[in-house]
Amino acid sequence: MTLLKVVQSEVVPETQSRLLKEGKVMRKFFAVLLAGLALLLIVTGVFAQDDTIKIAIGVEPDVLDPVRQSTVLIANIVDFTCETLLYMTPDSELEPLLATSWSVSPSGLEYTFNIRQGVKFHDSTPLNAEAVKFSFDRIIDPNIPTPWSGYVGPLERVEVVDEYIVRVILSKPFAPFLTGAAYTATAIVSPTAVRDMSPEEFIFSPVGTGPFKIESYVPGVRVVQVRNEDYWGDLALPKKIIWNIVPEAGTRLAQVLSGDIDIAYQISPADIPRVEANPSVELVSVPSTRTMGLCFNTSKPPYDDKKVRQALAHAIDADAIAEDIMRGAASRSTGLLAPSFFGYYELPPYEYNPELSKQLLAEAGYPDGIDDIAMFFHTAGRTPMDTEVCQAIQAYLGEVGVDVALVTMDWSAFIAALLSPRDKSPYHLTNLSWGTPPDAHHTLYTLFHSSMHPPKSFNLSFYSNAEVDRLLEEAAVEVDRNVRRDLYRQASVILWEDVPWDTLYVVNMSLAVNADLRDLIVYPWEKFSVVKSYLEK
Amino acid sequence: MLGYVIKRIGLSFPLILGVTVITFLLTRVLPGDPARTIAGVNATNEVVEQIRQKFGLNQSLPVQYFVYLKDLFRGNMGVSIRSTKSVMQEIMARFPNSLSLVTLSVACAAVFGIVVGTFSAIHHYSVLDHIATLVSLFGVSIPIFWSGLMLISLFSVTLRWLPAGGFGTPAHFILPVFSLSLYCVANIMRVTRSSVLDVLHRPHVQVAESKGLPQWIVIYKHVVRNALMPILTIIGLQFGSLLGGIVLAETVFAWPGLGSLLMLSVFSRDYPVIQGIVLILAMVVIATNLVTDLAYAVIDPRVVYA
Amino acid sequence: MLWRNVWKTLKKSRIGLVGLGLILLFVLISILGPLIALHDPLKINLAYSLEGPSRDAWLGTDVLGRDILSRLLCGARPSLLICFGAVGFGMIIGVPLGVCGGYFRGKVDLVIRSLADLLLAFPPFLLALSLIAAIGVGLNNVLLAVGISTVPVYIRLVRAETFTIAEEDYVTSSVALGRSNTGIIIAHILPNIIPVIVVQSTLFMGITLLYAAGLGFLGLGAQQPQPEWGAMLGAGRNYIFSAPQLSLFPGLAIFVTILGFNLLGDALRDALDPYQT
Repeated sequence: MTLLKVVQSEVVPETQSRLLKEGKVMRKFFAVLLAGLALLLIVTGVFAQDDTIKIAIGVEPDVLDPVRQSTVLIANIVDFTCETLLYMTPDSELEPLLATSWSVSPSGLEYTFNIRQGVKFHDSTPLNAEAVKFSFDRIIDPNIPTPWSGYVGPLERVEVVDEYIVRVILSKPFAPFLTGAAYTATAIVSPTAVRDMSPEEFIFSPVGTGPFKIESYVPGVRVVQVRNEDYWGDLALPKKIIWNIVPEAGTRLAQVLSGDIDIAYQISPADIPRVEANPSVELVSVPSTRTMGLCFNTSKPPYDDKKVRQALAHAIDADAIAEDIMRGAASRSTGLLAPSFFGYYELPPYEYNPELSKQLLAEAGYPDGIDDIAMFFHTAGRTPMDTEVCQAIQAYLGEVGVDVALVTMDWSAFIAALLSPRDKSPYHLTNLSWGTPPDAHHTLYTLFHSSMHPPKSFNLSFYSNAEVDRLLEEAAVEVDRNVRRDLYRQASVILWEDVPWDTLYVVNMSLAVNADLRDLIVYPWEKFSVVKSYLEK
Repeated sequence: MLGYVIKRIGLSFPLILGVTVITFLLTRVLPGDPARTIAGVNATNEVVEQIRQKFGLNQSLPVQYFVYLKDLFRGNMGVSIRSTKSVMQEIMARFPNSLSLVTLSVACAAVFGIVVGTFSAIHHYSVLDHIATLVSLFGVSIPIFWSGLMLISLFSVTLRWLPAGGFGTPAHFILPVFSLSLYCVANIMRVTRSSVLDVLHRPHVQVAESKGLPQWIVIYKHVVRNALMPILTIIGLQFGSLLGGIVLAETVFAWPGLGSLLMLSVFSRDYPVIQGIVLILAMVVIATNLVTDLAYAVIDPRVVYA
Repeated sequence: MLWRNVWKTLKKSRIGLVGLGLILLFVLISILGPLIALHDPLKINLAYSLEGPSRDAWLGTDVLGRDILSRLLCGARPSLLICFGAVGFGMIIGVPLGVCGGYFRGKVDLVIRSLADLLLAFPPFLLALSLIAAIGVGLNNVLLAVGISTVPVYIRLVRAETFTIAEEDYVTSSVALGRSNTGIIIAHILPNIIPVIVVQSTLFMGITLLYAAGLGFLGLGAQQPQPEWGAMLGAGRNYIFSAPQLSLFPGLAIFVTILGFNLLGDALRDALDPYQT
């Protein structure tokens, strides 16, 4: 015992004090670490960018090339980078943009544009008639897969008349041509960039004349646009725009509510009360030109039978969907198009009537419903409540004896599947929502003309009707607005009865916006602009 | 010692090879034409033929495997159908994000778990011990996709203290790391507790205690080092387990890592990327096991001679 | 004899009893759920979309107006089936392989051990996920995928136990006496590895439920409109603000059930551990 005590008294104090010192050192180290962490958090908070506008979107931009972008949301991003000849105001008026003036020949076949001088692309190439010709040629180039040739219609060729004068020659008059010239697909891109960059590079980093340049694109994460300091017009107010890809509507909303982002694109209608109750966030909900409907693949039986399609149209309670799922952020469709369209015609809706539905199915030869499972392809997060609406449709069709299997796909895979050629087309049903500048041609032609079948464009129902083709073609070249309107009326009546596309509702564009954001411009065709926006302190 | 290290590293190679076989089979086991699977649903027939030639898909399976292996050696894992970038590029862009998340989570869980576990063992059957056990049982039972959502609901939406997902600042790490460590800490705590408890009853510890050394020294010098082996094992296992869990965590928190890339690829039918991610993560697991085994040798040199 | 002792020890553990109770509740709900549910879990009723708890719908309704409680009750059964099915699958494949490896050793063991190590090189959830990516979504595939991910652990565990037991005197003497391998395995090995298997299986039930719910959450499990807890939680993700009950209740159900398995498994492990201090 004594020996141990001796050992202890000699050995222990040394070790004890050494370890005690070690302990103190440890504590100090942790204290410094914590302080450093706190400082870091504060610093990052202080230096948070306030001349940056952060936007959260739900769809990944698969392609940023103006000619090949696949949907309005992506076109919105492209618009800030690549500009078109004309600009359409929210009131659907056309104004000069890259074209300072234009004229149409009396025959309606020639459009002459004066190109703005002194404009440079982001790669310093000058804007001239050559560049315009080059860009328009890309749309009609058979080697470039673009779904938007319908916007330029019967474009025959483009001539360079002078360094800053370009002439577009159509083979037939085309009434909506000027609308097309204001649409993203016809944006002017730098020929040098297209030639020098590889196609893979260019589709993610297009070079245009716009107020913003693409700084970076991290697939699946974000697109960053940075202000073009050499812009030909007024400099944009924000220095940077960051588009974050956040597939979940709930997460987008959470981010705007906590101030992480400034604009949440497409919030869920169920969250609208919450947005309205929160003073730091504002709801911007505008009726758009987008109609949502159930599209039947008429190349696959039994959906080639008109009676079957009509039966299923009666099986769906579109009023309930518009009122209860969309909660007022949509209005029941009253025709093929939204009421704001030129060429809109009101048609009697397919009333919800499951009994009638079953009866019609029986008449078509399916008294016990349809045996084969219907493959319903859809994507999630593109339009508000799209998944829920698809599930509701599945339930309604289930009640009349049609077994529906929902196939959810990511946006780019979804588009790829939809644009499969007829013999490889994998879907029976799909939820097709379509919104364009408000001219009937852009919707009806692309969706129902027989030349627009996949893989070329979006006639997803593979609809083919010679009479409708004729009507749509005539309407495209008709100059008299009243005659045009009547042609569209006739086409609508036929399309309504054939119901390749059962329209359900017209959706609002709903944005949750930071209440301090000023001068946000919103367009009825689901686009918005922050070029002149700023955050008020 | 060096011999042990070399032997241990050497044993990894057959494992790595085996892993490549399995990931190779992943795309060959799918129904339909593998060339079309790799090229994408909507690729033109010419592109499909090109892919068929390039990967030798019209040849026998072993030959295909060798082509696959050869490409792997050159760092070529194919091209993403979704983004047209190389799979290697896609993965490397996101790999650090996932790695930092998992490492940080395991580190936090380890520190906390070891400290509390040791404390629990020393004061076993005390009230605090029981509470710690219960908390750990709860922690291991809470699905991370639920705890994540609830945490976002509380801290981001209601209290607005923390960002609701996303990536960029240190603050963005807090909730995901907390959710992930919650799951790990439970297991680490339990193993530490039982391991330390086991060692505490060993003779040499009782001798040290009877020498009158302060508890702090007894624990540090005598107990922990000996108890470390099982603790290291569980930490290594948790690391591997979390690599699977990141799929869920990254989805909930919109974290741009390999987990969310995997989900995106599954919904895009982007098989080259799925294959690449599975391979890379399996490699990380193998590397982790290797490091753990080597750490054993450092802590307890007796292992080398076993 | 062993089991009576186990039961005695278990009875003393309050935690274990709570766990057992929770599991019995889970099994009961899985069996009776569809019978006691007040509403049709599949029938949509848009007018009642996202309502809070009411007299008619005790836990509220989901976005399509379906009663959450009814869907929870009916969603227990798929979860139960996957749990038991996946664990059963793992046992049926993993245990015999493990026994063979541990008993016969040599080349047989090398092959089996390598197979297990190979599968274990993949993070288990990732393994299940990639299997689903290969074979497709749906409940059956989830069962298969999750089941496969449990196999290597069973192999390892059973192999280690068999190794130890095979060294015991009564086994070596049986071998010396010339008893057939099959006889020895059945008479001596199997009864002695059962405790380990029971504990592991109970714990695995919790884990397989977690994985299955995780796959459901990601949309890879039960497809709409079939109710399943993980899928319900996933669907509720977007309604965190407006209707947190959509996420709260399925998550709670999953949590409580997993907890039950973990509590029971823990208690069983303590009861069966011969070295318990």
